[in-house]
Order: sequence, then structure tokens, then C-alpha cells
Amino acid sequence: MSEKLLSIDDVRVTFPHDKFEKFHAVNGVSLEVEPGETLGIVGESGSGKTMLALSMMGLVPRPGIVDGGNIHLLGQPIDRLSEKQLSTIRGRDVGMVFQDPMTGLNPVRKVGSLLIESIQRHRSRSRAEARDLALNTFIEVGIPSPEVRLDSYPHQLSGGLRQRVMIALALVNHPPLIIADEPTTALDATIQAQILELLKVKLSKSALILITHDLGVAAEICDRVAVMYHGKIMELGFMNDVLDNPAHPYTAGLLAAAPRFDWNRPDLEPIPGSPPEAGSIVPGCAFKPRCGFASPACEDAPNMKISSYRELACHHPLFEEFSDGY
Amino acid sequence: MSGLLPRLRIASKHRRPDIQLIIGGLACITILILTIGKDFFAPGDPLSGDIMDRFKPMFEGKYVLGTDQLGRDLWTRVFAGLPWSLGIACVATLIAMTVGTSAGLIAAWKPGPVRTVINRMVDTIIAFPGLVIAICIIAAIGRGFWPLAITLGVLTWPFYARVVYAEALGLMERNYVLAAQLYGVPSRWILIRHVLPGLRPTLLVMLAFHFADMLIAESALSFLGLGAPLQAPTWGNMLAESRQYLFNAPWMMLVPAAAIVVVVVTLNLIGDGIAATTRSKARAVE
Repeated sequence: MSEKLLSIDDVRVTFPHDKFEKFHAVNGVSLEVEPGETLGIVGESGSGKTMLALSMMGLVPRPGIVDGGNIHLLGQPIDRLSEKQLSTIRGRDVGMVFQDPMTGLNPVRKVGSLLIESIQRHRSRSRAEARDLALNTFIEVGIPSPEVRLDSYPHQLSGGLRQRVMIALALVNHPPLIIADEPTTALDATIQAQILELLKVKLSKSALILITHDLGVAAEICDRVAVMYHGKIMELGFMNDVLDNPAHPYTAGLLAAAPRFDWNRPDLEPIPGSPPEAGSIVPGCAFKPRCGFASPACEDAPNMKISSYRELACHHPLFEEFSDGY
Repeated sequence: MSGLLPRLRIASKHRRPDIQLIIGGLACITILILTIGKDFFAPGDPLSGDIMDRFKPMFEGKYVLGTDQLGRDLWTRVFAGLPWSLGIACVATLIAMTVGTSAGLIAAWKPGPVRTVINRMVDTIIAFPGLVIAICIIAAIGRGFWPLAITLGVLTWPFYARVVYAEALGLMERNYVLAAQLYGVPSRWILIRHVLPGLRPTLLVMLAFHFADMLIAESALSFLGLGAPLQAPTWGNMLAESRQYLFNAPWMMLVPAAAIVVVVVTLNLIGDGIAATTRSKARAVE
């Protein structure tokens, strides 16, 4: 049993392709999360970020399955628990903020009743006590006139408010780990900044896994970052370190393609080509077709190389420490 | 209070109420009042009449709706049939809706053998001629209120099961069901608290039409002698008796038939009204 909050070891999420073939949406990912830290998982659409997050909650949608590796949350093997055991863990030990606040709230239920439901599910509280707790959580996440909002239906709330409700739902039972899957994608820029601020401040006691396609968002609040591509982690390291010294050509490409205000640069350089389709099978290194450093060695998938502060899967790393002894 | 809620209330006040729903609702309330106050509106005895006054046509003397072959007042008899017909339709609808909705929800939630068994059962009952099953059940347990209500319920629950199954499959794909799983709501709660409320408009519409169908089915079975006890003053029995005197005393057929038509049309208006309102409400939310 691990002492880490969450430890994931060589996890694969597999979907059947046709009768004989299958493909890996998540293809051998290992990572660990310590209590209280913020880990960003960055990747393009279809890189398997969301599937990885759902596998951590035992909610990979059918017909997908987790067919390999271990997922331990607080020492509990998530991938081997029954649905019943899982439902006691969800919300209590791990909360999730959902990608789309517009569809994540039941339109025929008052938002307060959802919170009360979650509280009563995990703690023995009377309805009045649960309502008080829900009210406090609404105040905590900065919902104005919370007493009224408890009795509002989702369609009466704006997008930003709905996302605050989703966050309230995730943290109402104070789980030690919160997973936020693209929490700001559906919101406009000002609301996005507010929600990020909220996540940063309110979740200081919980660990947070922030899943995003936006390096800027991750840079804002994450301690560490994992860059995913086609179901695999390409590079994992401390946020500032990775931003300053990317070791993987893909990370470097992402950074070169991102607009920055503090960096006087005439042009953004896009990464040529487009990512492999989710579900396609690319032999060797998945980034090889788009990589400027590709060589015959890349026909073999690179193993994860681990130094004290960085993990990397590449045959042609961009700086010295990783380029020898392999 | 923020400005949001009052504004929404005004908006809903301005939504035009559906005319069918208003007419249907008023008619329905009238029917309910007539049923409850039946002893006041029709104080006579539906089972006895003056044999000298047999076959009196409508509006003759004190008989507003005429009399039948034994001189019994049709006005009194048609009122006496109200609680029986409405009661059977009510119980049958409730049985069918409860059983059918539960079966449909379970089939949608549990793929595999459970779903297959429920769906095949639904197919079988729908494919089997209902009248044959009705005759079998009534032959086995006899006539009367409960046998008839249960028979009709058993025969028609598959229609609810089928509709609920299809709708629930769609609702369960919604993100809010996934979100509910994410904060640890157990399956049973999700079905009852998250999926079932979304089925409410569909079930309401089905309820209105199904109630009307049950009313007709009850009359039909009574007409065939499979429903009410033979002497009971029910609309189906009255129709059956009127058959012999159709050309001499057509009002004997017209009165119970008109009663059935009025109630059925009322229910259909309500059903259409609910359907129209929920549709426009759904548009307003989107």
C-alpha cells in the first residue's frame, strides 16, 4: 500500500475497436499525487486526459475498461472495487469538477438539493443541518445571495455561477483529492480568472489535479505538470522548470505555439501536422511524425526516463542530462 | 433578493396558457364534482324504475335523458356509472404506470440479462392479443372491480415500460447523471431522483391518454360481459342492454355513449394540453 494520496502505476484504459482490435485511450500512465499538491495534466483533445481522470474515479464509460496497472487512492485499489464501494469513495475521498457546467447540473432539480443529497450521502446529517452546510459551502465558493441560490434551478444561474455550484459540489464533503476536468473551458476570460483563483485559494487543503488543454491555465496554479500526448505522458516535472527548460520536443513545441505577453516574439510557431486520431494505433513514439528530431530510433517507443525532478519519454531530449546512458 | 427571480415569475405569467388544457381542466373538474356529488345531482335509485314509464324518450316528463326497457331513469343510471368507470380506469392506470415505469427504469439501468428479460416480456405482452388474456384472467378470478382493474393494468404496463426505457436510456447519457455518480450518489438514488423527474412530462401526457384508453377498454369489456356484474349500472352494461332496442329507443345507446365520449375527449384535451405546454416550456429553457 502506498503512502501517497494517489498513485497510478502503468494504467491502461482500453476500448474495443472492432471484434479483434482494441485501442488504448490511456496507454501506460504512471504518476503520483502528494497530499495538498496541485498537478496539471496538459494535452490536446483526444490525448486521454479525461479518460485518465475518469479511471481515477472508476467511471470509465462503457465499453471502455481499465485493463492493466494499479490505481490506489488512499491505499484503496480503485480498479478492483465494486460499484457500491466506489460510490462511497466518490465525493468523500475524491471530488470532481466537471468540464461542462451547462449540462452537469440536473435541470429539474434545485441546485441546493444536489448539495444536500451529496452531504446526506456521505455524512449522517439531518436535512436542516445539511442545508446549513450547503449554505456555508455556497458562501465559501463565493456565490452571492446563497440563501436564494440554494432554491434556484440551474437555468436561473449564469455559467460562472453554475461552475461555482459544481465546485461547491466537489468540495462540500472536503475530499483530500479534487479532480478538475477543464473547469474553465466553457467560461469567458474574466470568469475563467475568477474560477482559477477560487480553485487556487479554496482547495489549498486538498490536492488538486487540474486537467486542461491550456498551458497558461496550468501555469497559473499548478506545482507540477504532466504533458500527455496520445494516451501517454511525454514529460512530467515541476511547472516552472518545465516552462523554462522543456526537455521533450513536444513540450517545447507547445510552448513555442503559445502566445505570451512577457516574451517579445514576432511569430508563434505552430507544431506541424495534427495529432493522431484518438483510437488510431501509432507504432513507436506517437509524436514521431511531427517531431523535428525524429530518427530511426524513434520507431521504438521510448521508455520513461526518470531523474530526480523530471520524467521524460523521448529518445532525443533537448538538454544534456537526459541525452546519455540510454 | 436579486432581480432574477421576480423577472422569471413575470415571464411565466406572460406565457399563454394552453387553451386545450384550460377547457380540459375545467371539464375534468366538473366531472369530478359530478362524481363526488352524484347523490345530490341524481338522487334516484339506478336499479329500480317504474315499469309503466318504460322506453320514455329524452325530455319527456320528469325523465331528462329518458328511460330504459324497465323504466329506469337513464339520468340516474349514467351518474351511477361514473364512479365505477373512473375508479377502474384510475386503478388500472396507476398499476400500469407504477409497474411499467419501474420495469422501464430497471431495464435502462441494468444492461445484460435483466434488460433482456424485461424487454422480451414487454414484447410478448404487447404482441399477445389483449382480449384473450383478459378473458383468461377474468375466467380464472371472476368479474368485478378489482379483477377488471388488475387485468387492464397487467395488460398495459408494457407500454409505459417501453416509453420509459427509451427515454431513460437517453436521460442516463446526460452529463448530470455522470456528475451525480461523481459525487457518490448510488444507482438507486440516481434512478429515482435524477432520471425519474426528467420523465415527468412524458409520464403526465401518457397518463392522460392511457386513462382515456382504460375507460374505453373497461366499457368494451363490460359490453362483452367480461367486466362489471351483469346488473351493475355501468356504461358498458348500459350499452350492452341498449343493443336490442337500438332502433326503438336509440337514446338508451346515446346516453352512455355520450358519457364515454365526453370523458375521453376531456382526457385527450388534457393530454394534448400538457404536451403542448411542456414543449413550449422546453423551448423556453433552451
